[in-house]
Amino acid sequence: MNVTCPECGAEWELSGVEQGEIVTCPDCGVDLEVLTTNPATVGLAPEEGEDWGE
Amino acid sequence: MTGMKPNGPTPRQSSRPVCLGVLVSYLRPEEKAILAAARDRGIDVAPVFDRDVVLDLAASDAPTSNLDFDVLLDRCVAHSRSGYVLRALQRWGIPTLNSADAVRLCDDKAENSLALESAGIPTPRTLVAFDVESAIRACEAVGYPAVLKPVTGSWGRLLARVNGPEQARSILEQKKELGSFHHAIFYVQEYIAKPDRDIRAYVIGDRVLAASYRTAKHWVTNAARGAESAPCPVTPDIEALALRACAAVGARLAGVDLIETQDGLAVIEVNTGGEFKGLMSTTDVDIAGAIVDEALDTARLGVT
Amino acid sequence: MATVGVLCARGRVEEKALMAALAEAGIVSALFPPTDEPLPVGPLFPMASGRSFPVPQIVVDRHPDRQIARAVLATCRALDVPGLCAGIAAAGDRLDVASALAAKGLPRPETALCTSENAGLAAVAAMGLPATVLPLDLKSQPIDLPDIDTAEAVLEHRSVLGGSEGSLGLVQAGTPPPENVVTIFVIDGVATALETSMAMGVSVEVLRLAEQTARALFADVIAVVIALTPSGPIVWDVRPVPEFRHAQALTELSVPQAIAQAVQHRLEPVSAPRLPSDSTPDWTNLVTQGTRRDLVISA
Ligand SMILES: Nc1ncnc2c1ncn2[C@@H]1O[C@H](COP(=O)(O)OP(=O)(O)O)[C@@H](O)[C@H]1O
Ligand SMILES: [Mg+2]
Ligand SMILES: [Zn+2]
Repeated sequence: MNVTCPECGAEWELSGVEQGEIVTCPDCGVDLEVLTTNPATVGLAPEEGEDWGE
Repeated sequence: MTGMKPNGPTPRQSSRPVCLGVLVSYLRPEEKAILAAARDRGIDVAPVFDRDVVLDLAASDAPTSNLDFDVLLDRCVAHSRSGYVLRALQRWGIPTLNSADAVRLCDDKAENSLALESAGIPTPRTLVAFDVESAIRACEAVGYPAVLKPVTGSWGRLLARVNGPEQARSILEQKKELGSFHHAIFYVQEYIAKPDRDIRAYVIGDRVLAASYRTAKHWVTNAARGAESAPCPVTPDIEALALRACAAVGARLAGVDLIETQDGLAVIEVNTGGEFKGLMSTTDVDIAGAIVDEALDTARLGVT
Repeated sequence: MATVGVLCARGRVEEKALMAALAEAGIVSALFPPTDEPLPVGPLFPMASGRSFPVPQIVVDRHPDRQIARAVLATCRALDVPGLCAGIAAAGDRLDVASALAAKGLPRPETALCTSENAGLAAVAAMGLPATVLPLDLKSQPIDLPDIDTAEAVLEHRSVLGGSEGSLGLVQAGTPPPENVVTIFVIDGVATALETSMAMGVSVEVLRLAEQTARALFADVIAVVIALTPSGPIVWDVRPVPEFRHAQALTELSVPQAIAQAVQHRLEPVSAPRLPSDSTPDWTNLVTQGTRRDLVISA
């Protein structure tokens, strides 16, 4: 499944991912969230919040 | 929520005056009235400024932190600070009028609403969301106009009436862009078309001491925003609902905000640090004196 | 060493297209500056890291964060490196832009500078609703105020949560509907492309207004947002670093090609050094994010 980075337009093959997973664009390095898997689409990942952590 | 503390301080000796600590951020007219009422009663009273406090969490008693009072009254405007002080005092067995749990709960409007709902108390329908898009869906669910409030906040600050999805987006984006993470906890409430006023009922212990109408042209009727206070008779309805609301959140000293809906009274929130300057101007009841008397009882009984 | 530094946080669609257009014109470019490297201030001091600072011959401003862009552009100026940028809109904020346009008598909406929540409310009361808040920082989007409840809430939130920076802003009368708005990309004084959801065509008068705006701001590259009103076109806002992926070209050059040409014109006096196609400008090695190197397009 090919996806397109909304930031830089790079296209690459994504496999074995689930909706909600975070992947990194191999080209521009931006963090992306898998929005759908069939067809595969990605959008900008949410920004890290100050209250996030383990 | 109340009860004898098994390991609390031993009941004081009657020869020594009660030592009352009043935790403050600064002195408002309310605190001045409380200090005066305490001095009138021959009580050894001292304001404790939150900025001076150093809590020694390792200590097993209050003197290490200079908080060895017979009873402490929380009148801090910074509720997050008083939450820690009250929690430490609880460990050290110093009685307080409101518990740390009650103060923490009332400091958070979402917790406040959840406690009211859990107790079956009428309150406007409230939804909580964590993202702009889901918060807009929450606004649609309660219908427009909707009300947005910060979960932590007071004096009618940052309350917004939202008339449509685009308006919701404008306001939610500001919260997200400019505020700390607390402001991205979106508290969405049904708007109640109320008369141009709400009711502030003042609860001490198990009674409503007095109530006032707060009237304003603006839909936000906080005294801090310039609403006019006028006498309001404490009806059985007001009495019953305000007491139930306090019981629901575990508060023994509170200002309860009520609004008149088409289906009767509803509770907006319970404020453990309730101001009563406006109320004082509408009643002969000595609110400050009653608070001090309640503090004396608390010291005597060791209730916290 | 790259000839052109593309000042940005990350190579997005626009920056990649620009680098491709530069490569087509035989110009080596790379993303700039090296992200995690302290920058020298002026030529006297070496880099804090001890490495020599990779100075391009020219920097093209594509940074979405205007504060960072201003800082880096100033540093470049101190090193005698010119920047291709939006002029006053790159160095300043919306107030600087509005003032410069007003000084040149260019048509603009009724505007008030507000320094507090109450001033904002007074401006809205005087102008009527709808109105728009334009934060001074050009990075922040304009905020529509369709009604008084929204105006009160937005102005209060900006002042309580945003401090003095949030309280400061322009209030402009009206909120132009999208179908009456056209964004025109002006490069080296020429309206090169546009973006609009307007049904009708764009008049020459509107294109000329965009070009006059760019000139008044000394902008090499800028997008001018023009609103069509019953009394004629007005300059509503500007974008110092516009997205142009959906722009429709007005000339035979695309936006990135036109920017590449503008770069070329500025390089002409000095001959641009060419690198063999397999070499990477050495300063990109400083970039810890390895993916960025993919973006270096050599002639
Ligand atoms: N859902 C609502 N519908 C109508 N008016 C409301 C609503 N919520 C709050 N208000 C008005 O705004 C005032 C302040 O709201 P409140 O929740 O008590 O916030 P604060 O903690 O800032 O006092 C209330 O006293 C009431 O007049
Ligand atoms: Mg209230
Ligand atoms: Zn990418």
